[in-house]
Amino acid sequence: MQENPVKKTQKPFVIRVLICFVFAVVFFCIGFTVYFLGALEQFITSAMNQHITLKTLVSTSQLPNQTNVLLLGSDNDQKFTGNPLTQTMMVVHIDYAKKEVDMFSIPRDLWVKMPDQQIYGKIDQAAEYEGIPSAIKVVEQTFGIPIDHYAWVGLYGFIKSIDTIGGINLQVVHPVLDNAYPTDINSSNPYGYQRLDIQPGMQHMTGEEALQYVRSRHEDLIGDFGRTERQRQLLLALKQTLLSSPNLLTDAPRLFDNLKGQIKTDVTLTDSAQLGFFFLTNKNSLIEKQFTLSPPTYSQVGTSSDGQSIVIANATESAKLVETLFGTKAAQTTLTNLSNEQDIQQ
Amino acid sequence: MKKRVLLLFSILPLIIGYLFASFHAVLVTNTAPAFNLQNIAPGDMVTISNGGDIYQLTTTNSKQIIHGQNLIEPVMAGGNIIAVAKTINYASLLLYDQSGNKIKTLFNGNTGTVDTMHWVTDPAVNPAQDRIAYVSDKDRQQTNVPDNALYVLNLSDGTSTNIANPDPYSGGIAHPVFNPVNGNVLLYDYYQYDSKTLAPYSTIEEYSKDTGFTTTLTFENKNAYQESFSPDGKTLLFLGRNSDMNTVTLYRADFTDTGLMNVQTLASGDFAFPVFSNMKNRIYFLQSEENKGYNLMEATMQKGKLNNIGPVISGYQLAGNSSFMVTKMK
Repeated sequence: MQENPVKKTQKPFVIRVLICFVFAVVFFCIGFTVYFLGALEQFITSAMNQHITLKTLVSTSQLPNQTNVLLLGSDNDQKFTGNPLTQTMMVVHIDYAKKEVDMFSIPRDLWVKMPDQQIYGKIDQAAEYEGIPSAIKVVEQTFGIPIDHYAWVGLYGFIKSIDTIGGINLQVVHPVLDNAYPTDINSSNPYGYQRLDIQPGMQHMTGEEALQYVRSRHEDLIGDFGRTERQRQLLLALKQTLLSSPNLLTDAPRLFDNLKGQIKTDVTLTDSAQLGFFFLTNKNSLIEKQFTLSPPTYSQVGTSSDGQSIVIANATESAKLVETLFGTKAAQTTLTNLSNEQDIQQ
Repeated sequence: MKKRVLLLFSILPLIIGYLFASFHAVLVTNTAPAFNLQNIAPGDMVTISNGGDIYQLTTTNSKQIIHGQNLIEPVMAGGNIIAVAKTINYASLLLYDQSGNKIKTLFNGNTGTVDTMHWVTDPAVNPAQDRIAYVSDKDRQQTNVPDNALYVLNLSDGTSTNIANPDPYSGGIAHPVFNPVNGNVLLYDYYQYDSKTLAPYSTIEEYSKDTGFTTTLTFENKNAYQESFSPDGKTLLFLGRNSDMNTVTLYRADFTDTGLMNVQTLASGDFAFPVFSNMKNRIYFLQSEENKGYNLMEATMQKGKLNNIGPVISGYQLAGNSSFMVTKMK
C-alpha cells in the first residue's frame, strides 16, 4: 500500500505575494540607505579632515621673508618623449613682509646660454637636458634669481587642476581664433590640428577650455606675448577663485591628492597651506604686480643664425627690471653677454 | 535551484534600490535651469541659449524651442529664430521658425575640409529685418587673413558685404548691434593691442551706412564691449573690463549724434551681455557671483543704480557662452 505523502500547508497566494512585496520594499530601502550613508560618511570625514589639517599646518609653521617660486608648464602631450620643453616660465616673487606678490613672465623664445653648455638656445629648451633642474638653473644663471621652489604642470595636470576646482570664470580679453590648434590631448591623431574660436567676454571654462585659452598662440598679433598675458590672467583668476571660495583652500589636501602625479613640485602641503593662509589673511591689502620682458623696452624679436624666431633681451633695461624686482645684480652681466652674442640677427 | 531563484529575487530589489538612489543623486545634480518667470518684465520675451538648446521665456510661460542642435547666440527675426550652430572646427548660421523647425542654412561654415572651414558668429538683425550683421573669418584662408571681420548679409538677395576688418592676425571684431530705430547705424566691438605696452584692449565703434564712416565711441582705458541699445535707440548699456582683468563694470550712457554722453557706472562684478527690457528702466544681464556658471538676472535702473535685482534663471547653470535677446511679445 502506497503511503500518502504529508501535504505541507501552504499560505494563500495573496499572503505570499504580500510577503514578497514587503521584503522587496525593505531591501529597496536598505539599498537606498546604503548609498546615502556612504555619501554622508564621505562628506563628514572630508569636512573633519579639512578643518584639522589646515589648522595644524598653519599654526605650526613660520613664514620666511621672501620666496621665489618658478612656475613651469610643458606640452607633455602624446607627441613628446623625454624631457618636454617648458612652454611657460614664470617666477612668482612673494615678499611676506611687504605683502607684495610679483609675477615675472619669461618669454619662452628668449635666447640664452644653456646651463653647463657652450651653446645658446631658446630658454624653453633648457629643460630638455636634465628636466626641471636645468630649467631652474637656466633662470638662476640668466637672471641671477635664486629659485626657492618650483611647480611644474603638464597639459593633463592643468586640465585636471581646473576641473578639480569646478572650472574657472575667465574674462576673454581678446578673441582667440586659431586655425591650427593641436589635437594632441586624448587624440587618435596627436599630430593633427583643429580650429579654435573663443569669443571675448566673461565665460565659465572647463579645464580643457581654459587650456585652449592659455595655450593657443597662432594668429595672435603678439604671438607668445599674448599667450603669456593670458596665462598671467588665468593665474590671477585662479587666485581670485581660491580666495573667494575659502572652502577650496581648506580643501587643499583633497585637491593635492586629486592631482597626485599630475603636478611636480617641491612645495609641500605645509608650504601650500602657509601660502593659502598668507593670501587669505592679506587678500585686501596685497600689492600685486606683473612684469614681462615685453618689446620694445625690455626685448626685441630677432632671428638666430639657424633661422629660429627668437626674443633677444635688452640687457640694460631687463637687468634693471630684475634688480628692482628681485634685488639681484648678477643678471646684467649675463644679459649683456647675451645681447653681444654674434649668433643672432636683430 | 528554487532557493537560488528566490535568493536572486530577494537581492534584486536591493540592487534596484541602490541604483535608484544613485540615479536620483545624478538627477539632483543635473537639474534643468530653474526659471523664475515672475522676474520677467510684462510684455518681454527672452530667447536664450543654454547647453546648445534654445528656450523662450515670458512672464507666464517657459518652453524649450529647439533641442539637441548645439545652438548658441539666438536672435529673433520677425518671429523666426536665427542661431549659430557651432562644432569643433566650424560654425554655421541657421534659420528656424517659431516652432523650432529649421527653415534654411543662411551661412554654411562647413566646406568639407578642415583647412578651409570657417566661423560665423554674433548675428544681429536690423529693425527692418532684411539684413543680418555677423562676424566671420569668411576669407577661408589659414594665415595672413582678416579673421573676425564684420559682414552684413542681405536676406533678399543673399549677398554679403564686408563692413570692417581688424588688423591681420589680431582677430579683433565682435558683437555687432543695430540701432533699433535707425538700421543704418551699426555698433561693434573692436579688439586691439596697445602699440607700446602690447596690452589687449577693446573699443566700441559706430559704423554709419549713410556716411560710410566709422567713429570710435569709447576710450582705450574703458576696455568697452558687449553694448546694447534701449528700445528707443537713445541709451546704451555696455561693459568695461576692469584693470584686474577678471571683473567688469556695467555702464549706461546716452547715445547721441555727438557720441556717448552722461556715462554712468551701474555696477561692478562678473557680468555678461547686458540688454534692455522693453520697459526702458529695466535690464537683463548674465551674472556670476561664485566660480560657477551664470544666472540670468533682471534689475531696475534708478538714478544710475541697479535695484530690485532678481534671478530669471538661477542656480548658476548657464554656461559662459549662453547668450540671449529680449523682444517685445506680440
